[in-house]
Amino acid sequence: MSLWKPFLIIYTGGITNMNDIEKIQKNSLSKRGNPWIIYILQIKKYLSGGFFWAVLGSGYLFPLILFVIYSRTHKDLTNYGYWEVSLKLIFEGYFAYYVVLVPLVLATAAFRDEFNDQNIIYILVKPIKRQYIFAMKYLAYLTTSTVVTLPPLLLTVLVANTYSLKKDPYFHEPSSTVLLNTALLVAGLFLMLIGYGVVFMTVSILVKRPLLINLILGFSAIFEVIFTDLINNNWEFLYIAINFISRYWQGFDSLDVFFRRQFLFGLSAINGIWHAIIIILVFFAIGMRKIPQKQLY
Amino acid sequence: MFVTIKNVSKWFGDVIALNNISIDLEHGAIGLVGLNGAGKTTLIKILNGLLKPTEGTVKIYGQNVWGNLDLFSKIGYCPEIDNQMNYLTGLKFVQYNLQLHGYSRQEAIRKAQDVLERLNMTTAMTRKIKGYSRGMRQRVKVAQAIAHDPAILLLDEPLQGLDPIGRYELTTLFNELIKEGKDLIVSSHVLHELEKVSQTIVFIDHGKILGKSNISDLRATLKEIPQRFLIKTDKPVKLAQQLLPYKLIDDVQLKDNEIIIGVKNVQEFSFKLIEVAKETHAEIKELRPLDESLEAVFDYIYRGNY
Repeated sequence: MSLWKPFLIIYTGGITNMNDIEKIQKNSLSKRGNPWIIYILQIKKYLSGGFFWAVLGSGYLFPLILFVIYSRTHKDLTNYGYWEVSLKLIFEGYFAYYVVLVPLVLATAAFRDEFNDQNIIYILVKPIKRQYIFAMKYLAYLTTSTVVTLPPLLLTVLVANTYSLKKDPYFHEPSSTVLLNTALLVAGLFLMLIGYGVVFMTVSILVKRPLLINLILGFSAIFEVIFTDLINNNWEFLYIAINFISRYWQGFDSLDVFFRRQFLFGLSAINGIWHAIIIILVFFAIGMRKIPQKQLY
Repeated sequence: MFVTIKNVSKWFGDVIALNNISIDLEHGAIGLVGLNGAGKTTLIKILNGLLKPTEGTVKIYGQNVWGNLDLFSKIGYCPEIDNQMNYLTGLKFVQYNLQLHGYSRQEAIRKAQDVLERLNMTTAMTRKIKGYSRGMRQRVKVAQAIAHDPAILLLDEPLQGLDPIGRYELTTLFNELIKEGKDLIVSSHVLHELEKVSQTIVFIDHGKILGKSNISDLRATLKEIPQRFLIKTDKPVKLAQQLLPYKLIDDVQLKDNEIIIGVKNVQEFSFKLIEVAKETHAEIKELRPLDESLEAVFDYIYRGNY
């Protein structure tokens, strides 16, 4: 045995005890775990939380509010009045708050809750690459947040279009334009969900108490700047909505200017999309890089 | 050696949890014993790759642990935490844990049922974990740790909070697993719990390994060490008076309906106690060793005072 030992050490990478080798060989086909289970578990966890249902339910307040406004005001809403009211509600309410709140709740909770109650242990000790954990939780967040946010938006648009077509004699938008507008709203929604989600989730890995930081990020600096750029000159209503949030309501005017100077953000819609993509990729890369180094104290 | 720990330190900010420890552990069952905060959980978390040592190396079967997925599939871990995925049933919890280890759905369900039946959870397995008692939660935790048939089991305080029957059942299961050839590392802050499972006891205190002892040597030493017990009875004064003259009694303290008693020979004491209780017609409501007695063992063995 001693003669073979040096060769054995080289061959086995330092394992010299035959018993050890047998133990390793016993399970020689080391299995890799199924990462989709992380996805399933995350969705089940979302569904089990009472807060999730509150967030889900509150989304339907938007079409309800719009319906109440329309049914109570019969005059003065012609000449695209119905349409403008719906946009005001969609941008200043739905997009400005709801579509930030949903990722804030769901994406932050995906890791934070499990780090707090330590249930993440059961996933971290499994033979699954940690990057898959991040990716699967993110995918579960995207699925859930889409299910939560998309139907209320479509319902609001449906209510707005129905009233505009029925009651506004000046509303002559062809159905293709209506569809295009709706598609743009849905695209904006996805961009916000993807963007906010990855930022919030990454922050929740990096810091112990991510909610406050995410709250500041969510309702102030980064994405408002991007979306201001995104819609500038092209979709004035969104510009107004974002300005309203970042400047008058939240008073983050200086941050807006700071980010504009720091990152040389331009003013075109295309630039806005590029900046959003860059931020998404950067935060995704940070998350994927940090999760393998994460230790559970 | 199946575990080699070399010059391992772990810092949490300014606090040192493990202080330059080195130890080799042989195959079999190892008991890790120390007071709360001694560093047991930190060491176990390093052994299963949840924590990375600040300094030093940890190897299991000659392989580095941190980030080693091959090794992860051979380790079963029962954490100290009392939280499990409360939104799942016991069966689903074990099934998903198996699928996370790479088993197919069908195979995972079958194995989960088998292991839960082995742990006497047949009727409770389809109920949500949220409604489980402490003992049931412990069993489910142990079930997910052993379900994938790992070669090594890391069990962090697996008997904590269990009633005597639960303790007995789990201890029996651990002994069966040892017979099946598994390597076990079991931590506890109660020494006598580990005696029933481990062949070797490693003492850890303030982040340092105080020593390693064979269980039979330790038993011999323990006979000499006064151990403290708490007795709850309806006639504490009478019982204490009757017990005091015996030589094996080291000291007696009375407090309300409780007696705290220091004894030198535990086995002899248990017989004497029954005898005296019969004579005095005293009802023994509770008899348990005090956790602090572990400190006494440390003092006696490693610091030379008691």
